[in-house]
Amino acid sequence: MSGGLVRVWGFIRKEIISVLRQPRLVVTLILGPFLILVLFGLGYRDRPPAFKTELVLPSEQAGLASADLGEAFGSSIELVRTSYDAEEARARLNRGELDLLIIAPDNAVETIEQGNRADFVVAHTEVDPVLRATINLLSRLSIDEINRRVIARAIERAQEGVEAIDAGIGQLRAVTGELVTALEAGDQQRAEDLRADLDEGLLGADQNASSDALYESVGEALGTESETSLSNLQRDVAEIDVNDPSAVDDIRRVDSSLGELETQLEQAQTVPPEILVSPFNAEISELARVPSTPALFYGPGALALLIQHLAVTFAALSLVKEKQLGLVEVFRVSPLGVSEALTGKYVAFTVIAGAVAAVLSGAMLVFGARVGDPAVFALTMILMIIASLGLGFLVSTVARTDTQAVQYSMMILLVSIFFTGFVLPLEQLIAPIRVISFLLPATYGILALHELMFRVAEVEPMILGGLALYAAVLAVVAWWGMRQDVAKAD
Amino acid sequence: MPESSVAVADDLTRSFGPDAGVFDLDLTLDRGVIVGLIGPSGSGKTTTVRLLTGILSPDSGTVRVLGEDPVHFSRETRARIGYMPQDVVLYPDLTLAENLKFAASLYGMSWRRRDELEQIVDFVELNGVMDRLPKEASGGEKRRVMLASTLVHQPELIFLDEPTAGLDPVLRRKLWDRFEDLADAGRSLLVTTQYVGEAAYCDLVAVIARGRILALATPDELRRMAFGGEVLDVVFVEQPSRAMAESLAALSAGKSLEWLDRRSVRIVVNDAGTAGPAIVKWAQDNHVELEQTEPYLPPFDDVFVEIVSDLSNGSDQTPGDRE
Repeated sequence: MSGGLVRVWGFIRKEIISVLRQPRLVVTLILGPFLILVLFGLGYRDRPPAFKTELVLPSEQAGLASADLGEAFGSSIELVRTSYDAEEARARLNRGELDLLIIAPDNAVETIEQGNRADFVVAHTEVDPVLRATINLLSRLSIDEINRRVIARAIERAQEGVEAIDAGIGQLRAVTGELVTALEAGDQQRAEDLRADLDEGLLGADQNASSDALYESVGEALGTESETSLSNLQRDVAEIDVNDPSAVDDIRRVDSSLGELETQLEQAQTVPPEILVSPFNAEISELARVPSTPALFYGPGALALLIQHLAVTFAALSLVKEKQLGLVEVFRVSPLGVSEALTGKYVAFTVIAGAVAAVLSGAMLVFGARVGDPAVFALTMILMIIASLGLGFLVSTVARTDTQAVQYSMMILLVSIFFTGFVLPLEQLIAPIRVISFLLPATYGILALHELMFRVAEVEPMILGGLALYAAVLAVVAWWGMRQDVAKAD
Repeated sequence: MPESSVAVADDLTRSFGPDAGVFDLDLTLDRGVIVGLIGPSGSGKTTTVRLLTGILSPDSGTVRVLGEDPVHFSRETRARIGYMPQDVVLYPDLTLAENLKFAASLYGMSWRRRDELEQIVDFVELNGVMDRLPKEASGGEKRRVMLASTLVHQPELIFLDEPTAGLDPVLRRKLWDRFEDLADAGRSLLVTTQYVGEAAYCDLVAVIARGRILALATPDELRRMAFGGEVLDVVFVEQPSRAMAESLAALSAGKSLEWLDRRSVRIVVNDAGTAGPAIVKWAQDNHVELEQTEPYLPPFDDVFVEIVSDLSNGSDQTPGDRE
């Protein structure tokens, strides 16, 4: 073995022995992250907490059923009290006895009749941005639900009137029959009287048919709106000249249209009001391999962060310890090359961090995670470890003591929690700030692991290519930094 | 640089402040000799070693070690040098044996070269303790492991920065025996120490204080430089008269007599070999009976104090200049 290889091997063996000689450290390295994942999985609830809520009703609307409203608010709003004094309720909210306060509008009917919306006031003292967003969403959903229930009730009443309209249309069709008979018999006077009756009857029916507009709007939304409406028919009948030979055909078309309307009105009586209020539904088709628990979703991110932190800390402490011990002087006098020392440390720590990553990945597999293509998974982890080691070596050239090295490593971990996409999606960061994300190896790791473990598509080559390039750049910078520390005379 | 010299420093200066560093340092280290660099803490010993090993670069002056500028040592030249730093620098999580093997690997020595490793362990008398972690080893054992790490690749030029610091006298003596063995084998050693008495083991001693070399000579020469000559203790059978004793002073090298007790005086002479018979003749001529006349070897602590005190008294001359 050449001298250079002996020196590299010397560093590999020394670093591995140093780590293995600390059994507590090894146990902490492997069991610690594993326990964190398990505890997170056991303790995390993927549903928002139920908010203790008080509903304040105006006294004049005491008849408004709080039970109905409570049902409309859903299970995330726990209605603990109904009252009629908003000020007292606000005091209870400020004292922390409540999470939410919902104040129903005063004189809602009058406000709506005046063409204005009536406001439900939702008050809270929450500062957590996630919980605030949850409250906003719940508020909107609850009010939408209340609106739907109100409209559904109106439709229910309208359906009761549709039956009468339906009977009226049946009578109008009888008139059209008689009108056709009169026209075919050449009785112009009788025909004109019947046309006038039909015109008047259609006008009356149009004014009563409140559901007509509703049907039209649904039709418009679907892009299948009908040409037929009572107002159109009334306009057509008003224009018919009974002396015109085509009048018979015109009346038959009107009759046909009335037949269509009759069918629609019959349907309107059979379709449930809640369907008419919310005629559309969203059917979600998930193409990703959705993890069965939130812990499994956060697992790859946690794995990437832990491995990055492990590698950064190992690398940062390794050289700092040598500087503190005074071994750098010995290195400087010896024939050791910086690239030899760096290669030895890279290999040793890649083996150690890789072993920890393998154990943690295995544990995730046991708990139901999938790793996708094992070769790509392994490549991702190795590249991420090498890049993280480069970052750690860079830290070690800046840090003067092991305390500083640990502090810098913790700082990198803190930055990683916010900027790698572990908690917040990268897309929510503005572009200039996102640059920070791509200075952190875990960002590439999380992107790649999410693709591998949750998506059907293959990992984008840009992610792994970018990570490899970044690892290479960090290695060169670390080599340069270490050269300043080890190889150059002070 | 003469062929016999392995290291030559000429007018070397590296300053860390007005009185910190080394200044105008001239030093030559020949093959097969032990040069002791002796001085108090902070006198510039370690800085000198660091300049000679390329750890520090000089502000001015030149230095050549094994024919190269230490700041730009080639890898081959580094392999010919052994360096033992002042502090104990061992990996706390490796055993003494593993530390030694790691040091060997730095010089390209495979861990499989057990014979050479065992030889060096024998040399520093560490058999049976090499499986201990540094925290389980004594200070002397750790020092000896470091010495073994320095010597494991059989360097021809060895820099040892206070290798005996904190060790008991017996162990210090053993280590100096080892250094003498190395010098006998043709190795060159530059050894720094705070123990002035260790100057006796060196072939050449450089006394350094406040970053400057005050004297550079063999141990015997250093004594002469410190006291202005050789020292004889003269013991009379009966207490001589003061006038009689003062007439004895005429035989000295210009220094006054020092009374040791009522019957004994200490006299500095140019050459003890010729001064002895002269004193016997003086006694016969003056009818004075002598009990004995013998050379006195002042301890190096006294030598060192003598030399350094001259500098403290503001003398521009080093003791050597007085000759």
